[in-house]
Amino acid sequence: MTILNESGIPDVLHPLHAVTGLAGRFPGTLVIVVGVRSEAHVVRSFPGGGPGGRISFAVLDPQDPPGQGHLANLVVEAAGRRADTVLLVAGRTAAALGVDVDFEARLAARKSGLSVAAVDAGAPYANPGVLSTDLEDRVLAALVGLCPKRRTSELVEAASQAKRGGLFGLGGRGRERPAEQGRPVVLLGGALSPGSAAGLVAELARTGVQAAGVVPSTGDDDLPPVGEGTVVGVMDPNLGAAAGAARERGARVVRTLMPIGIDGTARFLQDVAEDAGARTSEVMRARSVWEELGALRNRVRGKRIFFAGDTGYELPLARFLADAGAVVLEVGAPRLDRRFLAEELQALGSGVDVVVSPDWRGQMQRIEDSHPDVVVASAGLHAPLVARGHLCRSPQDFVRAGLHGYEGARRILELLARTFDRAEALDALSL
Amino acid sequence: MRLLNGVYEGPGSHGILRLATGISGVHAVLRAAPGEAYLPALYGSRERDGLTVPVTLSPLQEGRRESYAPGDLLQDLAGVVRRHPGVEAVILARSEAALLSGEEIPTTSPPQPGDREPALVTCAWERPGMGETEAADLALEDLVRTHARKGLERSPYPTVNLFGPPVFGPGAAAEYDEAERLLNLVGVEVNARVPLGATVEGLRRLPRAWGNVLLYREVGESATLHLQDEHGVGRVTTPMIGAAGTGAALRAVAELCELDPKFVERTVWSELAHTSKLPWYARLRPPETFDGLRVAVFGTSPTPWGSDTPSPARSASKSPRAGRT
Repeated sequence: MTILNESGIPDVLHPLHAVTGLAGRFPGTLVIVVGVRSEAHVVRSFPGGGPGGRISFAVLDPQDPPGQGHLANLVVEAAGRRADTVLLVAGRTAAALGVDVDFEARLAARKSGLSVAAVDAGAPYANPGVLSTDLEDRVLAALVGLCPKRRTSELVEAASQAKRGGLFGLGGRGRERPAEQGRPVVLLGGALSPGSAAGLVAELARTGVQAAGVVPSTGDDDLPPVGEGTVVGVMDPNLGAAAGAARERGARVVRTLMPIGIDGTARFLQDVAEDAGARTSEVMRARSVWEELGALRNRVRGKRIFFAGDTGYELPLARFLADAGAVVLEVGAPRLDRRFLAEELQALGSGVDVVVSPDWRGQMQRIEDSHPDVVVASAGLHAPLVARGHLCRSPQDFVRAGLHGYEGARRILELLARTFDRAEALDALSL
Repeated sequence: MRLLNGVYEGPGSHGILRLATGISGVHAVLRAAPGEAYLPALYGSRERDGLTVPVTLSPLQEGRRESYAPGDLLQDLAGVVRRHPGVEAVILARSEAALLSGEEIPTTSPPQPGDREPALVTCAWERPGMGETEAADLALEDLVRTHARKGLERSPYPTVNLFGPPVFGPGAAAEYDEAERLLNLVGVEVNARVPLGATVEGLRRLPRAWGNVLLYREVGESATLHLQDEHGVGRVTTPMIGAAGTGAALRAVAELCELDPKFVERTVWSELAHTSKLPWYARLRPPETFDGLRVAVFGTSPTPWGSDTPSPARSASKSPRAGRT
């Protein structure tokens, strides 16, 4: 594995494009985007898929910035009795116009009694670069802030319960070794593919670990407590800020592979279980899944895949597909947090090049030169590459399909197999 | 500050980029925060030509910056010219975040090796809160002002410049085609289409035309006024909307191009007889489409729509409100 820094301009979709999708994901939440005309225009230009949530725009006048508390009053008025939670998403221009969105959120929460979380969508990361999924990370970090904290008394009780035989009491159905789990487990991630989070919870339960909850919560569940003694399993490779927020609360963030692909899922389940105080081995399960997916692996074996880089999911996807027999030509990483993704980088095969801050024009040239079988292309490159005769898939297709867990591995392979099948069917038409 | 459900117009930078994307030989440099360049993604999803947009992001970096990485505006402008040998003009658009940063902009073209020096249009008038239509209008005026040659002779036969919508205008290319077809019927050729399908060389030769036809007043207003004042090229602002509007526009063009009015009138009548007063695609919808519906017409059009067209609001529905926003 080689890491190169191209110091170019990567093609990355604006992070605010995800507002509509996230609003649809949280039905009881009112999302208010704070900024000038630019921010509102971006959100409306990318309507996204699925049911639309409730979005409003607090459009600031650059010539007349609002006074302190003005935004909070507007939030209280807008939320009324129609929302349980308000998410204030501040664009870059809000801070430039002197709006302290954290303060306004606290003030609105005090005035209305609602949960109001502030999300600074434009805050820079420690590592340079932008991912199209940065908003998802920021929103999850804000949700971690809304989770109830665990008290020390709960920790003492939990420890004694664990000694007696289980944190969640005895006699749970289908638990293999409930007595061995000592710490509560919270899964973090899967905001845009909620089904796959539920799948991972079930996989954890099979190994004897009962998840206390998922952030963001699924269905009508409340947010789980996160604090000292909580074991947090991060599901997505783009959640650096959310993981940092959990760590700041005293939670223990498991350092492991992302639960993407077969080996990634197996390592994730093993390591999370171990940190939670339960011991399990996923070797046999992983082996049987590899065998089950043999036919699908044959469809991708030897295929040459190029990841332009956009969402941040490319690294674990490339790791899995390389393990499945594909030839990964390049993995673009608009931003690479080497410390957070250390395990992923270590697990990446030796023949894979990771290009940090790739220049999109350079990437197009390399794609033209190498002519891969499929390009996982960012939004701006997708149409030009297809027009030049390349087979492309959007990284969002993988995210929406749900790529976590063993079932996620199947879905990834099926998605690629369908891509090749359709391309072959179209080729057969000789159009 | 207002609480809205959305906006109908993008920011000024979006208008400049939409304009520049349609003109061959113009390259736009967007000064914005990293991740703010969304035009390539929008273009890919809306247009079906498979082209890459001639836009380069010059990222407004905060904090530490690697010395060789993009982010220095002057270096980025020079880099665009170096990497794109066909570029004849570079236009600078700044996002609202960049405008609010208060950064100074360069006033001279970046130095280039050899004698090639593309024009730099800086759009210094851009300000936070400006809408995309106003910015596109002013940017087109700047481009025309920079390139239109003085002292050019009129073309030997009647020609006009068509000022229409920029990219993303619904059915933009079809609008240009239809207007050109109608003008050809009365014996007038099109000197240049602006901005969609224009070239920098075409902008230089705009003063050769006998007149300017303004299909889309929102973007061509300032540029055609400049051509009228500085180059003596008259303009037709009657919107080609509806049978009467189209006929009136053609008659105005004929007057500007000193054509025989009788011939033009006969051509217009003949055309109306062929098309039953409306283009064929108006017949795609059944006549009951708007029955009983309440219709509100939103838009930024500064001109009234076809005055004699049986508008849906007038013919079958009650219009609660119609006008400019």
